[in-house]
Order: sequence, then C-alpha cells, then structure tokens
Amino acid sequence: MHLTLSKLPYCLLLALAACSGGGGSSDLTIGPGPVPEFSCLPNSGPVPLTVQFTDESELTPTAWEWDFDNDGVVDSTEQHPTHTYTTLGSFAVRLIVRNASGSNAVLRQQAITAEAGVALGDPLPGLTEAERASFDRGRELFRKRFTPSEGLGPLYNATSCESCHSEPVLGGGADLYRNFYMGAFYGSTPLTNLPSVVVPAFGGTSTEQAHSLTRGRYTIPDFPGLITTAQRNSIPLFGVGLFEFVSNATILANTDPEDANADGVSGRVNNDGAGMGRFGLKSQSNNIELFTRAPLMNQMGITSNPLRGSAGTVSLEVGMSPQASSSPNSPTFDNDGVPDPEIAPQDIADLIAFTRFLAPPQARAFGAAAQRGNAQFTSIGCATCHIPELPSSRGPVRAYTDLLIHDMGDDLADHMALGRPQITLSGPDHTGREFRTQPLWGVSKSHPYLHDGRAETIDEAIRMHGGEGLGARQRYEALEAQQRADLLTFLEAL
Amino acid sequence: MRSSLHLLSLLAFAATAVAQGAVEDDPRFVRGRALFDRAFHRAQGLGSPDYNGDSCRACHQDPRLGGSGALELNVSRFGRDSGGSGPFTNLAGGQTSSKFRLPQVGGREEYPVPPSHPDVFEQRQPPALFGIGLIETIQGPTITANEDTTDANGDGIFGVARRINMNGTIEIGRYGWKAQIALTRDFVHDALAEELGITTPDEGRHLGIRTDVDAVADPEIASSTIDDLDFFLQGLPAPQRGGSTDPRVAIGEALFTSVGCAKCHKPSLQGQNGPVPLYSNLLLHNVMPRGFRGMAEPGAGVGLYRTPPLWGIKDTAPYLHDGRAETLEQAIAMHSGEASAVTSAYVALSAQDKQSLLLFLKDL
Repeated sequence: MHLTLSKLPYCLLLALAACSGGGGSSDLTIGPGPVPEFSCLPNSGPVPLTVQFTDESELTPTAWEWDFDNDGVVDSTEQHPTHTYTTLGSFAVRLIVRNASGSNAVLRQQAITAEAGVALGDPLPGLTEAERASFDRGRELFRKRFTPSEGLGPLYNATSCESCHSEPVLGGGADLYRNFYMGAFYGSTPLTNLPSVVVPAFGGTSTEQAHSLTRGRYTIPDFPGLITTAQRNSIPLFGVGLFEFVSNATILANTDPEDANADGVSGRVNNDGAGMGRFGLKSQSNNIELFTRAPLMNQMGITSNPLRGSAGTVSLEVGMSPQASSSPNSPTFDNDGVPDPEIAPQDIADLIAFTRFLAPPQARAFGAAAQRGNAQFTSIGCATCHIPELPSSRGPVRAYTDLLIHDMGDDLADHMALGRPQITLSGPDHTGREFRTQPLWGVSKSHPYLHDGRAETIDEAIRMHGGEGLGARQRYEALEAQQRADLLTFLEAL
Repeated sequence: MRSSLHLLSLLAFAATAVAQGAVEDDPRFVRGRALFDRAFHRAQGLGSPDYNGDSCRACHQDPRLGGSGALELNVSRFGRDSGGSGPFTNLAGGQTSSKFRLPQVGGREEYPVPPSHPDVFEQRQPPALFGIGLIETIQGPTITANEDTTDANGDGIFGVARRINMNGTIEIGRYGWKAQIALTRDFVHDALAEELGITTPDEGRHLGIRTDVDAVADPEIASSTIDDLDFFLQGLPAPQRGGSTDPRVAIGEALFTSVGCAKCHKPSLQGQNGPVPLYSNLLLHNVMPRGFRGMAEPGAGVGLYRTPPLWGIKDTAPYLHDGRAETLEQAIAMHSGEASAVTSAYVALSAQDKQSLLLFLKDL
C-alpha cells in the first residue's frame, strides 16, 4: 500500500515572516515497517544555520537515513542528527526509517529555510551598488572622530557618531556613561510647551569652559536660565530606515487620542512641523536627514546645510528617498572659527545612507518558551502599543512599535516637549510625559533600557512602565514566575 | 569574539616575552579584565549617586581595553582662584565633578547650585594604563635622584617628585596627571570612587570612599575584586616599540636628546627588574603658559604636571592633560614654562628634522 498524505507541518510554525517557508507539505509512504516522523529546530534562520533534527518515528525504527537537502545522498544515519546549512535556500528533507519489518520514507518540502545571514550592523540585503557604496562611506564617516580644527564644538557631548552608537556594534546604542542631558528653559511651571535643548557637556578645553552636569550648571554662559531636567540614553539605529516606508495612514490608523475604546491606552502622532514623526524617543523627527543633522549639531557642534532645496542637492536613489516632506530645517551654524558648513553635502548623504540602510535585527526562531511568551505578550496587552508588525512599502516592518507617543506617567515623565503632537480635545498640547513606543527588535542587545537607561534589565524596564503602560505592567507583575520567564525569553529572541 | 580574543592573546604571546603570555592566561588577569570591561548599574552600587563612567572601560578604551579615551571622555575638576588673582582653594565636595547622576526613578533631574560658585575648572584626559605595572617597580629614590628643585644646573628646568603623606610615611607618587597616586592598587580605589561612585573596603591607605548615599550596602566591591583589577593592571603589557627601520627614526631619536626633550622625558628609568623604557622622569614640571589657571594640590601647585610617559603615544591622541593638542606637533608647540628653551630649539629645527622627530615619537 502506498499512501500520499498531506499533513500539517511537523516543524514548529513560527509567527515570523522570515519563517513563512517553514514546515511545508509532506509526502509519506506507509508500508510494513516504522512510520517516519521528525521535527527540526529551528526551521529557518540566517546561514550558517545549524538545525537539530529529532526523530519522532513510531513503531521502533532501528536505522535512519537522513537526506537534508533531498539530493538523493544520505547525509546522516544517526537517530537525532544536526546539520548546518551554509547555502541559501529552502530545503526539502527526506527521512527513511527501517526495522526488521520494512522501511518507510517521508519527504518534507520546504522544511528548512536558510536565509541571507544579516548580522547586526550589516546593510539591508539587495542594495544597489551605489547604495552600498554610500552606506560604506557613511559607515566610515560614522566612525570619524572630529577635532576642534575640523569644526567640533564649540560645545559638544561627543566627538563622533560612534561615540554614542557603538554597542554591541556600530550603529547600536551605548552604555550609561554615554548618556547626555536635555534641558528646558526656566520660566514657567510646569515645564510644558517650553523649548528644550540638548545640553552639551563640554566646551573646548579652556579652564573657563569645563562643564559639569551635576551639582549645578556652573557655567553655561550660552544658556542663561537653563535647567537640566532629563537624561537620555542613546538608541540603536538598526532598521530605523524602514520607518520611512511606513505610511502616515498606517500610523494614523492606530491612534486613539481620546481613548475611544476605553482600554486605558490612547496614543497619538507626533509631528516635526513638516511631517509625521517616526524617529527619536518622542517620534519628534519625520526624516532621517533631520535625525542625522540634528545630532551632528547638538551633540558634536558640526554644522551642515539641508540637502533638499539647497545648492548642490544630493539626490538619493529613486524609491529609497523618504516620503515626501518639505525640508523642515535650515542651515546650522556656530561660532567656533571653522567655516560653516563643517561637513559636505555628500557626507551628510552618506551618513543618511548608513542609518537608512542598516538592516533590522533578525529575530531568532522561537522555541516553545518563546512561543508561550509571545502569547503572553499579546494577552497582557504589551502588543497594544508594541504592535509586532507594521506594513510598509518595503514589506512588513517587525519592529514591535506603533511609532506613536503615549503618556507613560509621572515617574517616567521628563517634561521635555519635543515636536508638535496631534492636538487632542482632552489633553494639553504636550504633557512631557509622552514617549514613543520604543521598538523591541533587538531589545536584548540594547541595554540599559528606557529613555535614560534607568533600567538595567528588560524585567526592570517592564516594571517601570506607568501611565498608559500601567495596566500591562500590572498584568505582567501578576503573572506566574514561569510565565514572566517565558515572556522574557520571547523578548530576548527578538 | 572568543576566538578573536584568543587570537589577540596569541599574537601578544608571540610578540612579547613568554612570561607575558603566562600573565594573560592567569585566571586573576582574566577576571580582572572582565571586571575592567563590566558595566555597573544601580544594583551594583554605581554612583555616589554621581559618576563619570559606568565601567573602567568607559574611560580607558583607546585603542583597546586599558588605553586612553577620546576628548569627550575627559573628566572635570573644579575650584576657586578668584578669577586667577587669588590662591587656589578647594570648595566643598573636593575637586572632582561628575558628569552624571544615576537617573532618578520618579521626579525630574534637578541639581542645586552650591552657595559658593567655582570659577576655575580643569579637564583631564584618561591616561593609558599600559605598562603601569612596570612603572610600579621604579623605586622612590630612583625618581627623586633626578629632582632639581632649585634649577641648580641653570637649564631652566626644575623637576620635583610628588610626595604623598601615607599614614606618616612619605611615599613618591607615580601615577596620575599630578603624580598623585603611588600604587596601582591605590589607583583602583581612587578611580572606583571618583569615577564610578563605587565604595571600597578600608585597606588602610585612605584612598577611595567608604560610604555613599545609594541603597547598596558598603563596601560595594570586595578586596578580592580589587585584587583582580590590580592584577590586571599590573599585567597590562607595556607599549612595544614600532620597530621601524626608517633611518629617519634613528635621526629623530638623536634629535630627541639633542633638542632637550629627553631631559624630562627620560628614555628609561631603572626598575627592580631592569630598565623601564617609559620616556618620563615621573617628576612634576610646569610647562603651562604664563597665567595658566588650574587645580592645585598639596605638593603639586597650579600648572605642575607629571611628565607623561611617551611610550605608546601614537595611540593616545588628543594630548596634554586636557586634550587641548590634537596632534603631536601641536603638543610639542604647546610646551612652555620650563620647556620654553626646548620648544624653541624644536621650532628652530628644519622641516625635515621635525619630521624625523615625529617619526621617532610615532615609533614609541
């Protein structure tokens, strides 16, 4: 007797776009002898991909023949072998099992998907030659350490982009010691709707300009009336370029500024005056150009001209340029004696390309614990704001964010009014308690956590959620220890 | 990562003495290196609650673990000198000011302005730590032998050792921009306190801090941990000469002496296990311009700095105590005070000779 059955996937089905090929159909022969069955973990991932195959055959097989790529050659005769896939593609796996009664075979189509190995810090796959060249130039510039004679300062926090974006690799975040301060100008209480600025820690090297950020701002002649109010821990840049391709309509669809559904979670869009916000801890920037030129100026004192609308416009590859937004900014200038702009338009374009084309973190395949954690993530309400996937014109963006700003309560409030949020009927223009839902892809590699790095671990970070996040946090705290562990396992796999 | 570290240690093993390889394989060295690289946070006692860095590596990282730091890793000192017209005085809280305070949990960051405002500041670059174990083998009398407290030889160059009163005994300082530290173990205590806000056990040498105001029980680090950090520092390999065969390097080396650089940047000092080629006399000199304002300490007045060792200098830009010099040429040109005559002799060199001197320095 020879039956061909189409069975449900054996291999663990993962809620991951990257694993959509996992667990294809199977052809199974059933005659005298054992009934073949196996599982494979993981069933997808970047090359080199090492897969553990587990024999689950019934009726006591005594011999196994594995063909990991269905090329007709037996690759292993072990019962539970491992195999490392080094070439890209989707692979069918054949297992023949034998005992004294006979033998049977199973052929599972598309059992394993080995993908391009995109490591943290790598560029997006599929760039054109020109894009890749610009990315590579941008990566070098990102590491360039500016000196005062090249325009560093007169006030600065850092000498290179790498200073604050290097952990665990170039383009990432930074440890606590790279924190910087933001300030607001004194004058009214509460500090809402006040202009806020990055506070530079250093100014030149003269004895009069050595700044301290604690025990009072002794000497900031440039900022009379400024008080420091918030620290910032730098954020990783992996994958952020994809946010440019999430449409305004998609972002708007998730807003609920008046909490119409009464779930305690509202969420509104921010705006930088020229376009809907996507970048920064408060979604205060609409495009990567501003997200690049602003820290160059605010953190390093490097002046630049806007690319669009300026002489010597640098055009980016059609289709890769951000969504239409008018140039929200003007040339920056300083008084350090170095002629402005201190960086060339092509260099700005290359720095933008580096940020834009940094590939997103790749999630690991979810084991059983991570799958349980994934379910908890949704059931306790994390996914209400940390929306796993947003559609974009470049495919799904699995960043676990809605790109909206949410009121996170008084304990997290930093009183910094950035951007121009969507006006609501019930609330003030800006509360200073709102933060963008931080993307969670690669979260295990971006410690410390929260806007100022106050949380050392993911667990601590969850327990510090307040305001609109309070409900989800309380449900997290009410979970069994094992359930919390599963949730953390899930987050660490992202 | 593991394999590249292993490769690095293999290369180091091949490049240096066998004994060095043995040090780097020592579990104490391995533990000390991990501690040096470890980022501390609230739960481990980071902050007093103030701090400059959350790890040793936060300041000592260029070009690799144990090295120096970029300009933005400077730390600040403060005091008062009445606009430069009065004597330097310390203000409450000492000279060290921290860049950060641990983020508050609840409530916004606010810092009270102290009643008496400082009016003079000084930035300090993190010094590279390579070879400091060898410097510890240089005994006090070796250092004081080069003193010239009255400029008896009339060359314009003085030179005084930093004397530290340690429980009634005078010790000679070896480390720090003002030679304020005698032993690497003292440095560990001092840096943990001043830069990380970590309390350390009382080991009888009154360095570091015993208590702070965070919620972590004091001391926040054990003597055994200090043992490991100290062992790591002691074992950090000294910078190796580049070994260039460019004939200009030898010309530059001769110029280094004939111009007068070597008067203070002594090519080597005798250590207990042989000569230590550090290019320093470990004495304090004033090479700052007239009118310089900065910190004063007992035994090290305003403008007095230890001759910085020059070994490995190619990897430690920017230069001078606050990083004011971007390049070696700038650093040389900024020497004045006791070094004025030497600087003039350097300036008078031909472009070719200056280039040779530079190549020599970059080979150290």
